[in-house]
Formats: sequence, structure tokens, C-alpha cells
Amino acid sequence: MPEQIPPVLAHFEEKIRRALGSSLDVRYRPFVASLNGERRGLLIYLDGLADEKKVQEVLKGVIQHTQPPFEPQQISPDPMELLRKAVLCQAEVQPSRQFSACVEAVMVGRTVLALDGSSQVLLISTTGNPGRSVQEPSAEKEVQGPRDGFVEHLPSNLALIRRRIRDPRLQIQSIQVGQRTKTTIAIAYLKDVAGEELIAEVRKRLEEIRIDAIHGAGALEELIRDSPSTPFPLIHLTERPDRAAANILEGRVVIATDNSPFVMIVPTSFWGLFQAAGDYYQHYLISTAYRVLRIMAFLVALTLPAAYVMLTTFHHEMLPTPLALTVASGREGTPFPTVLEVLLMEVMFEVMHEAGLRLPTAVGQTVSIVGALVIGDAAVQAGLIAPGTVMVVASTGIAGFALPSYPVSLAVRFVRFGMLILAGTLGVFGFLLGTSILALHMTSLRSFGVPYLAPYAPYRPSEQEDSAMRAPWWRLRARPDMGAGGSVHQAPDQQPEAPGARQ
Amino acid sequence: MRRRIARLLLFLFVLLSLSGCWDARELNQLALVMAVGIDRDPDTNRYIVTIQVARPASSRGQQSGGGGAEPVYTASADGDTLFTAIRNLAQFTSRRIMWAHNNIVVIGESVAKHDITPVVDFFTRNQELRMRTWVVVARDTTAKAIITAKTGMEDIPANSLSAVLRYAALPGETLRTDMNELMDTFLSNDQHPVISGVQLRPGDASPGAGGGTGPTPQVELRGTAIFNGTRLVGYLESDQGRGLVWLRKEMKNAVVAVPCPETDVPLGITVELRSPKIRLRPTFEGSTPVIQVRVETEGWLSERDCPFGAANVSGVKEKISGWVEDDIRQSIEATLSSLQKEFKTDAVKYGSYFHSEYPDWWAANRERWSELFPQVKTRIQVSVHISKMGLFVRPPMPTFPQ
Repeated sequence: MPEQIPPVLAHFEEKIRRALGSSLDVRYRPFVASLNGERRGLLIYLDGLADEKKVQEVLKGVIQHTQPPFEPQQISPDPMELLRKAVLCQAEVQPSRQFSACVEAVMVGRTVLALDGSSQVLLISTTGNPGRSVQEPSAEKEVQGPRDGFVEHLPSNLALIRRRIRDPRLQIQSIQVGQRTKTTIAIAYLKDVAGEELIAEVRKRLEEIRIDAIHGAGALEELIRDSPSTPFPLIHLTERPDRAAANILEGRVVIATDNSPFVMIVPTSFWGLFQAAGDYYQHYLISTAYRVLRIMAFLVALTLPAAYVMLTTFHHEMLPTPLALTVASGREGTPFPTVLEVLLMEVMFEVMHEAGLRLPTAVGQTVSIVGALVIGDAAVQAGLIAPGTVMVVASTGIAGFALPSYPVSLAVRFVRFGMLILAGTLGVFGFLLGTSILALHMTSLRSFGVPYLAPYAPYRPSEQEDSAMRAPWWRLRARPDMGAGGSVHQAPDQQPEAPGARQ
Repeated sequence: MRRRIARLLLFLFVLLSLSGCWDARELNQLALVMAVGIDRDPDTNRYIVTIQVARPASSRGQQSGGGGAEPVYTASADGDTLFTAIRNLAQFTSRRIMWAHNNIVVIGESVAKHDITPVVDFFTRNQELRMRTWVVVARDTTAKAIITAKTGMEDIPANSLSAVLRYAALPGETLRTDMNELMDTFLSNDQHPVISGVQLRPGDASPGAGGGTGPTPQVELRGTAIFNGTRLVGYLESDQGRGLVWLRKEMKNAVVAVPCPETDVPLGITVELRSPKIRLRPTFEGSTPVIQVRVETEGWLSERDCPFGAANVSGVKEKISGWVEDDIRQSIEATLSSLQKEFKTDAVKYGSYFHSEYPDWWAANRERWSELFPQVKTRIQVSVHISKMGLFVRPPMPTFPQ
């Protein structure tokens, strides 16, 4: 039996003051209104979370309430009913008899209206939006694409998605996670496209979470991902509403977390992380070329230092003679073995990246200038580091940043050190050992049950059109197979033709 | 599960410590051999090995080190066998000698005349050596002299020599042999090895990158060394060499000079032969083994120093092609005559054709082949088709009235 609301206002006030404590931001606003006679009442709301203007409107309505042209008694003898139906102008006014609901309502920014002599309260929606307005996404910029990005406010984010899919079959359900933070999580999908099992799995994973606090999408990701120990991102986080909407239309499920400008897209394919939103706005040949380029950058970022060390310390015969001489001349007089050289420079690079990451722009420039001097020039001038090593480390670093997904770039940089140590100690054997382990590991990964390396491993011929290549829009007819069955989402023969081309 | 992972990790770590980095060698601790020469001292029966090692500090990159230092380091040492000689080199070479980038093996005439078996053996047995290394014979000089000679164009003389060999097909007068082919022919029972010869050409080149004064002698390709089994028997000079290149089907491109068709200017016209096709077919005439040689080629007129009328182009073409045909036939015949009469050595793989076409006959006559070879008859058929006259119809000559 849930706790009831005591009809005497003084008792209610005492009780709620005990429940909410003496927090600075809790506001109690007593008032007197004329509702079938004089009635004392109380408004309770959280300063800041509730919009002050909206609270004022509530007060204005209640206090300045005058006799309407009809007989109030005809509406209802109950003053609460009267308030709800004839006095308050707010869109969402919800009666409640449970005390716990009152406390929860205050916590999300609603205003609780209690009247003396009533065992009912009204929960009035006065939630304000204290966050920033919709801005350009800072982590995923596109040259030719929409400029709006998700913000910290969940309803705004959902509206951004809804605006792109005006289909009643777009379902948005919510779950509360976090015993203390009471974070709202929204699940968005297309009812007739997304697989039943996938939706059930997402719900199940979210409902099974028993935790005090959810701090953001990244924290939630760790709680629901398939394999906890892999460094690779199994769930795609995006800041872009166009991307989230496109993925919903392909049959994926979007999980949006309140207070986080990133939404999750499940299931995630590894190759999907090499796709940028801009790929769909550019010409398909160019998009394909850039996707291939990104995959090459991935391979470079992963293996170049390892291959360099392997070739220059173990397998000199694999270098062409002029290259061997060039590398050898650069190495003349350098004191450290190549492995150590590369390892030192890689660590320095990571340190600089870390240092530059959170600094204000003005200081960040100092870091980059000093870094360029230290890493690029001074080390070579001093004869400490071979110029080839600097080239390798620099190209590896740049290649790492060419990946459109930041988590992938982090994972690559993490794995790179393992590859480097293996290749530096065991030569080509270690290099191949590392690549084999990595390949085995990645093929074993699943994202919400879907193989991570699909559609290449397992190979699905029908999904090749939008993977490492992008076929023109009029060829992208089938949706990827994620359990719901590859349904077709456009009519055939959409290929444009010049008039008169067909006889 | 956790215990198993821990055990696996421990196992991997032990594995790492066992292997260590035993094979790791930094590039700057290695002496990259660019060329090697092998001589033999007939008095002491010892081998002399000369290596040309690149000095990366001065051959590439910044010149911050010693400015005028030589781009290569040459050293030689002797020993009872090739390997002991190489080991003796290590006694005064500060870096470990590495053979993987070796371009050229120069066999000194002293070794070639004695026995090339140790060279073939050593350079094919070692796993570090590449089978694509060029092999040449130093004519009338020591391998050491070839290895230590400087060159004008390249920093590293070995690169210059290997480039000369790479473009040897252009003049089409010598064959080039790499270690793989040498081993092939050396081990086979139906052919004899041939190796191109190199010579020091008294200097008309400017001093090389290494400094020095006055013209320095240059290494040039000259002639083809003919081996009978393990031993050098002699050289084919350039014209006979061309016949050899034809007969070994290595001709890619050749240039033939012929007289002018309407005046008597000797050798006024040059024809370039493009994409020639050569077929050799073994048959018998009675019991005499015969080889039928068929050469078909296209000819492009590339130089003409004499006038001939535009009216009679087809007649001129016929005349020219007849001369070119004669020229090719003569060079093949010249080669065969010196191989069959002078050297009595089957350097043109005739044996291998009979071997594959008539295996039974070959099995019966294999032992006698060196006696049979000088008697083999060759029927030569050449057809040249002049297909292009270049951009001019008439020769470019001033028409201004004198």
C-alpha cells in the first residue's frame, strides 16, 4: 500500500519537508485561493529545475482566479477537479494520491500543488530547460550536412529525431535507470522495421541495470555492451540527429540518455564506424574512395610502427636497397635501438595528445609548438632519434586521427603498442601473431548479437552495397539484415536518366 | 577462468624471455654488401674476397658527417676457402657483414679459369643471399680491380654496374646471368653456363663522387664468358655475342646498320628490330642432329643518312630487309662457328632441345654430346618485315640551292 497524502495541509507540509530535507533549492510557496470558498494551499517546486515563469503562471491562475461565466459547482464540487479543469492553463496537470509520486515530481522539476482538506495533489509540468540550445556537433563535423547536434536535454533530442521521421510507427519508449539519478533513457525505433528480438534485448539489458547512478551515454554503454573487455567500441555513439534517424530507418534501435549529447546506436558494425555522415551527402564514388582511405588509415595507424621496427631490426632483406640505405643513413649514430626509439616517440605523442586535449586553446597552441619542435626537429637534430622514426610516428598519429570514430581511434592506439612490442621482440613472427590474435578477437565480437565484422565476416553479399563502398542511393534498396529480415525500402528503377536517353 | 588467463599470460611471458631478440640487428650495426669479388692466388691456392660496402653515413641523407668521405668502403681478405676469407674480413670490419642487399658477384678470371664450383656453392647455399644477384666475370683483370673501381654517375659503384646490366638488353650484345640462372645451367646435364664479362675501360669519365683527380677507369660490359662445365674456356666478342643472344632467345631489341640501297654509302641506314620471335626446333637429317632456327622480327627504320626516292619505297624495304636478314644470319653463324669449332661447348642450349624433344635419343647419347655438338647442323631462316619508316618520308636535308 503506497503512502497516502494526509488531507491536512500542515501535516502534508511537515511530511514533505522531512522527505526533501532542507535543501537550498526546494521552494515552498503558500497561497490562498477562492475555490468554492476560501482555500489555503501550497506550491512546492525546485528552484532552477522548474521554470520560474511557469510557476508564476500557475500562481497567477490560482490566486487571481475569478468567477467564470458558469457556475463552478456544476463542474465539480471538488476544488481539485475545479482547479484542473477550469483554472490551470498548463498542458500537463496530473492528479495524484501517492506521496512518493509527489517527491519524484518535485525532483524532475514539476510543481506540486496541495490544498488544505484534500488528499489529492496536482502535479503540474513546469520543467524548464536549463541546458544549452541546439548547436553544431563538435565531435562529428560535416562540411555538407545539417548543422544541428544533440544536446543534454532529452526531449529536445527526441524532437530532433522525430522531426526527421514523421511516421507514427516511430516508437519512443522510456525507462528509468539509476536508483539515485533516476535518469530517463529513451529507446527509439520503427515498430515495423526493427526486429522484435532486438527491441526485447535492448529493453532487457536496460531493465536489468541495478545501479545508483548513470553519468552519461558512455557509462551506460559499458553496462550493456556484449563483451566488457574488448577495447573496440561495440556500441556506436553519435552526436548527429541525421545519423541517428538514418540508423533508425535501417532498422536499428537508438538509445538516448538524458543529460548526454550522445545517443547510442545498436547493433553496431565495425565497418559502420568508418562511415561518416557526410558519405551520404557526397557523390558515391567519392564517398567510396574516402571509406577505403579510412580503412587504409586504420591499417596504417595499427601496423606502421610495428612494420617499421620489424623491417629495420629483423628483416633488412625485405627493404629495397635504396630504402635500406636511406634508413641506415638516418640511423647512423643514434643511441637507442629502433624499438625503444619508436616506443619513446609513440609515448611522447600520446602524452602530447593527452596534454592538448583538455587545455584551453591558448595554451594548447604552446603544447603543439613545443611538441612539434621536440618531436619533429630537436630530437633528430640532437641525433637522438632517426628521422625515419619521426616520419613513422607522425604518419601513424595522423592516420589515427583520420578515423571518423574517436573510440576506434583510441582503440587502435591502444592495440598499436601491443603490436609494436610483439613485432619488436619477435619480428615478423610477432607481427603475424599480433594480427592473427586481433583478427580472431574481432571476429568473435558481437554487438547485440550481430557479428561485429559483418557484412564481411560473415560475408553477406546483399549488404556489400553500403559497407566499405557506398553504392548510389538508387542502388541501396535493401536494409541490412539485423534479425527483422532485409526489407526493401525504396522502389526499383530510381536511377535518374537524361530525358530521351531510353528509346 | 581467471586462473587460466593468468597461466596463459605467464606462459606467453616465459616464451618471450626464451626467444628474446636474438635475431634483432639494427641497420646501423650492419655492413650492407653491395658487390663482392672473388679472386684466387694461383701460387698459394688461397681465395681473395673483396667486398664493397655502402657507408650509409655519407651515401645518403644529411652531409653532416665527414663531408668528403667515400660513399663506399672496400676491403679484401684471403682464406683457404671462400667462407674463411669472409670470416677473415670480419676481423677488421667493425660491422656485421650482411649479404641480403648484394647486387653483383664478380668472378675473377683466375677463379673462372680454375673452377667456379665454390662460388656457385657458397652463393646458393647461404640463405641470406639472393638468387637474383647478377654474376659477371672480370676479363683480363682481377675482381678486386673491378670492385674498387669508382664510377662517375652513382655514389655506389655497384649500383652503377647493376644498372648497366639491367639495361644490357638494349645493345643486345651480351647475355646477363643471375645467380639463379647460373646455378640452373651449372647443375643441368644438357647445357653450359655463360656469364657476361666486364672490363676496365681506361678512363674517359670525370672523377667520381668519391673525389680523386683525373679521369678514372670505368667498368664496362664486354663479351660473354663461355664455360665448359666448371671452367672458363673463352669469350665471345660482341658480334658473336649477338648471335648467342639470338640463339638463347634473349634478344629483346637490336640495332642493325645496313648500306644505302641506291647509293653505295656503306652502313648509311640503321634498322631497329622490335619484338623479335625466335623458334628453335631439333630434328634429324639421317643420323645427324639438326637444329632449325626461325627468326621473325619487325624492323623500324630509325636512321637514314642517304637519300632514296619516295617512289620505290616497297623495293627499298625489300632490299633493306634482305640485308638485315643476312646480318642476323651471319651473326648467328659466327657464334656457332666459334662455339662448335673453337670452344666445342654447347653454350646455346642445343642439348636441352634434344633432351626434351627426344628423351630416348638423349639418354643414349648424353655421354657423347660434347663430341656430337660440334657436328650439329643449324638451318637458319630469318624473315624481317620493315614496318615503320619513322616520321620522315624523305631524309631531312637542306633544299636551299647551294
